[in-house]
Amino acid sequence: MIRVTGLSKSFGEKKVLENLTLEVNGPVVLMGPSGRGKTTLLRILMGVEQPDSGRIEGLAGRGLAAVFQEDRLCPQLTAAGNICLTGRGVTIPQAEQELRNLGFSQADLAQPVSKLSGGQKRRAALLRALLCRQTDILLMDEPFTGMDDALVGDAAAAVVRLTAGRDALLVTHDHSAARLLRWPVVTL
Amino acid sequence: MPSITMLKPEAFRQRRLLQKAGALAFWVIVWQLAAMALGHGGLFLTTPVGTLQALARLLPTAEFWYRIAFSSLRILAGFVLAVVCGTALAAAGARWPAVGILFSPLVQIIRAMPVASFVILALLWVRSANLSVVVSFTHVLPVVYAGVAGGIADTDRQLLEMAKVYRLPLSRRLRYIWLPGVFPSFSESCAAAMGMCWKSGVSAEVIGLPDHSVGDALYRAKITLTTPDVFAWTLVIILLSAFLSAVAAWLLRCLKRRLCGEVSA
Repeated sequence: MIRVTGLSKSFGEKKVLENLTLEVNGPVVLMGPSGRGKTTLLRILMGVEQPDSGRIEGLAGRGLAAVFQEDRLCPQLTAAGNICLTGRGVTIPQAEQELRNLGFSQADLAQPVSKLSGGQKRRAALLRALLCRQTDILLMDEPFTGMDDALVGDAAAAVVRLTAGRDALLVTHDHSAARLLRWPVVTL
Repeated sequence: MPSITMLKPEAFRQRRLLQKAGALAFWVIVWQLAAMALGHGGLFLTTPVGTLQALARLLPTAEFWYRIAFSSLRILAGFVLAVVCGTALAAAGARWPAVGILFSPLVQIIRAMPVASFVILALLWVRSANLSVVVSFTHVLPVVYAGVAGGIADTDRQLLEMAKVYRLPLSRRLRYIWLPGVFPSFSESCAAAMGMCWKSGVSAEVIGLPDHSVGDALYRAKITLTTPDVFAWTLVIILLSAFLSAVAAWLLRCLKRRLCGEVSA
């Protein structure tokens, strides 16, 4: 379980998070209007942003995987190469199988990521996090961006299947995707 | 109504090649005409044909090849040393800013120093035979340093943040993030450095006059007023520099493909 207590963060004059208290026990969807600090909260949990005040418990010693707001894939590698880059147990054939399940063709699998479409890159970034073994926490920032309805359904099913047993915090604006996940929803 | 004709890549390449060949032919003709106009049997300006004749005379001699080997080995040694040290220094400067601050004045001084001043100083420290190693090293070091430092600054911060979150080992960060990030700027600096290496290395040899060097041959041709030989040796230096730049670029590309796990589409 991740426990966030009294978390505050400002960028200059702008208060992005103010005295936020939250518990994440299992998978949770985080929703809310833009500018409420959802991405900032994820970045603080990832350890790439420091809060101004507040306490976070339940992260120490636990492996963490993330889907960032941007894809952040190595452009010269294939999608499977990017997934296996984390080096946490998943093999290239396993990664390719999961990519096929999300609509990748054999030709797409052979392409460097730089040649893939935005939606394909997003799916690769999502699978990189989901297939990262030996991690107990998944943080996902708008993982369904750039996917059509059918793909969102497949991607949401993959998220549910591959998240099982882990704490997960998924940020989305997409209500239909949130419904597909059937996870508890927290609104900021 | 104006129309736009799209050329296929192959046709475009051929057209560019023809344009380049045309430009080269134009300047060779200008050179020939200028040499003919100046007259004096090519004493002040040898014709292109005279240059090629001098080259044809030099090519079969063992001494020509010995001079090429002598200078190439030393200049390349300076280049390789500069690439290694420049890369290490830039990496250290990025990791520990104090290192960058410490070496910055030295790099600036070397960059601004005339080759001739440095050669005269270097002659006090090393034998003239090794002068071109020291001079090409010192003149190329700032170029490689700046190239690598620029590449480090250009490396994708978002990928580095991803690597931090996923706790990627250093070896993977180097291979898949740092190396592809640094490579464009590094390879550009290496291509420029190779040209500079030859310029500074041969200049050093012309001043230090080590036996059996290209610079020595150039100097001898000058003092004996054998202008065609001066032109022939200059042509050899230009060709060697261009050839070695192309080889270095090719080697770097191969190395990048192999090390960075690059996939060709």
